[in-house]
Amino acid sequence: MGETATLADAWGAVPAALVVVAVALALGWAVTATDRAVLAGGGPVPGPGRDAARLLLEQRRTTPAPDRLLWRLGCAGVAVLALASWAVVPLGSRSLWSTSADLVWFNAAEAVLWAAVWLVGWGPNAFAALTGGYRFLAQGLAYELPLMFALITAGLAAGSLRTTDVVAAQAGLWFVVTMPVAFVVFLAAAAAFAFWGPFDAPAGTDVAGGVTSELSGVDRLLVSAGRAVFLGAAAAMAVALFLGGGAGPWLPGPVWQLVKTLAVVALLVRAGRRLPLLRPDRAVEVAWVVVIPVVLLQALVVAVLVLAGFYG
Amino acid sequence: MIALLSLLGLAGALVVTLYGASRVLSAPVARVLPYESGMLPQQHAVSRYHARWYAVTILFLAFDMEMVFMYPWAVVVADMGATAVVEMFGFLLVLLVGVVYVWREGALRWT
Amino acid sequence: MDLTTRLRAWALARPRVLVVDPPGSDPLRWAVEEELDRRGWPRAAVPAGTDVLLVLGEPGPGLAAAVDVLWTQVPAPRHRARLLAGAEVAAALDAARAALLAGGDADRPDPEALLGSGEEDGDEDPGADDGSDEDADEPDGDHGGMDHGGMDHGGMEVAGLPMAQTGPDRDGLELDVLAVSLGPVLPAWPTGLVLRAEVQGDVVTGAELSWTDDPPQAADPDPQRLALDRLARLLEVAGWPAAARDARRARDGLGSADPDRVVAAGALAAALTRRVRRSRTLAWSLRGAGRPADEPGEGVLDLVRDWCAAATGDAPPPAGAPLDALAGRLEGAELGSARLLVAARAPAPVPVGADRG
Repeated sequence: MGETATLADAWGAVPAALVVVAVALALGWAVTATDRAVLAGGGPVPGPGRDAARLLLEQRRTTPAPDRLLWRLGCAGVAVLALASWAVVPLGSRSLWSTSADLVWFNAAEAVLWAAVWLVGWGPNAFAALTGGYRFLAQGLAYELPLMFALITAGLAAGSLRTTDVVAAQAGLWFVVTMPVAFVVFLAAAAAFAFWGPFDAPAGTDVAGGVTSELSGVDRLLVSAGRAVFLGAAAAMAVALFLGGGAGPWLPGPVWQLVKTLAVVALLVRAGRRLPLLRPDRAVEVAWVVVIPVVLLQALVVAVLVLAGFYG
Repeated sequence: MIALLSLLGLAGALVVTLYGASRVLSAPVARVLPYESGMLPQQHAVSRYHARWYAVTILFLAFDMEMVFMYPWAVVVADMGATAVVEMFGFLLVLLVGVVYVWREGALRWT
Repeated sequence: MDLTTRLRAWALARPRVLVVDPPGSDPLRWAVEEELDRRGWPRAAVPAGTDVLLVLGEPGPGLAAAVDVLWTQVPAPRHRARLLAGAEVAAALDAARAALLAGGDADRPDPEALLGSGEEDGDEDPGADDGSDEDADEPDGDHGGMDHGGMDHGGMEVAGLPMAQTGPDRDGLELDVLAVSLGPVLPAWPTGLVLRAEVQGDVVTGAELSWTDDPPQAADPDPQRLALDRLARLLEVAGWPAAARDARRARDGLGSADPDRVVAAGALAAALTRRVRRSRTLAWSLRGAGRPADEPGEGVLDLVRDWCAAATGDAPPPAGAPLDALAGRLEGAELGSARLLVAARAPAPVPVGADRG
């Protein structure tokens, strides 16, 4: 526990956790609804809530000689990790849990996702799923380091890895102004770890849904919900790290934060769906040769600004 | 810590509840063949998958280790001053030389 | 109990439909897809995500066998329906949903039973007409056949299936070779086409293409609508669902009786093809895919541009590739590239004697 008051201190651990889970699920719902509306381009779409109910009514499946334990662990893992990443996302000016290494926690939740997604692909003993799982690992090699550097750049400017400190450090100027590259890279990496939009290859049409191809019923629900909640967490995190959190005139902080988060979701979904798939085998090369040097340059610029006392 | 455990506990409870609800609401688990576009599978899919990007994973590990230093470094840059920045980016430059070498060797492309 | 019924009715208001379209049923599939889009019913990609399995027209025996296998993989609640050419699409979909809600159909054969029967008549099953050199990768009695080493996995059989064999890869390493089938029913794939492939990781090392059944009577749909449909499929494989949606919309609009809609569809097709042609991301992602060094103008990207030209009615659709030539190009390709190549070459069934050479 840090010295900053957390949501848990304010409301009690369990009620605070309940609120965080509710917010996470609501934002995941909003992400899915927005995504479907954009994809349908004006047509009617099935609502995410209705879908969830349908998946609960649907039979689960198992294949001959599956790795049952690891398969189930992977499905549950995607959902649990997505919720776990919310522990350090600030709601208003406080997060549920506050440590001196919040950013590392967020990063870790997403890093363990590598294992969870691969297990979802490995479990059912099916070719399309297995291929999807390995595609996710290849994609991880592309997005992971840019994501880490983007997170560190925000922490560097704040001089702290605590998310609430990062928000507080933006009282004068939103970080997005001095680190636009880190902001964009962070959002792109978020799309990549939720394997959504242009980074959908692990669940791509060309491998018949990849890691999701053998999932039905509640298994499918957990993986889809986990992806959506992760995207929502990333949008909320982007607001906290780069867009000043709840800062804004007239309205109370949480309202500003909600407005900004929904705006980031809308921006991310619209931009993401404008692009075709970026194949992992191409993305890895660009990530290492272009994105990593550029984001490091961004970190260098921020480091120099820190030395110059720019961030106070 | 209790806050985190509460969150993880709630997440776990949610997963268990969903599995329970699914058990009540849906038919028992179906035993089916893996999907192969309507054909019968000929072999088990879990084989030794040839991950041809293995060379990239080594490069990745080098950088990943480096991140372990970079997180704490980010916190102390303001106190340590210019030396910290010079040292860190000098180190990163060395690693980037490695990236350039790997790239020129063609290991970042495998298809 | 009544609560469950109402929950079901609410949850299944927009069931996911897996459409199986035998060769030659393109116009019927377009009508179905248009109606599904109008209702906001999602199209399923795989049996695991399917509520209604909808078979169009009259599939041949090979494709029908594949549909039977797919049907065993669909989770309950499920419903299987047929739609013949000339039938009322909307009424058929309503009926399918009603039958889905009524439920019932719980019978499902064991996987082992399916595999057992596959062992006997598997060779007469889908893809039977290509009988030549397939024995090496068939899981029948004698394991470790022919040119596969098969030392370490050869004799093992778990749950009725053998493990993968090993074979040399292009760098001379000894690696697992997995025999898989792509098609006949795969999302954004020419239904009825079967790719019997050997893969090492995600590289196709052996490829053999065939059709499940004899070709149907030639139906000649409007070439521009056909081109838009194939372009939609290609964009789907390239992972660009929003653009694929526009291509389908333009295709459906062109078939409308309303002249205003036809004009709007033409404009949409023009806008779409402009966007696709100018997309640098798509060009970057497809560059080099499926392009042999000695044949310029034959890569996937070049074919995308050909399809774009056909989609605006400025050129005839590119001719489908002969299966043997296409299969040759697939060998050595990464799986995604192989899928792109098949979508871009858009092979169409021709009489069996003609494409076998």
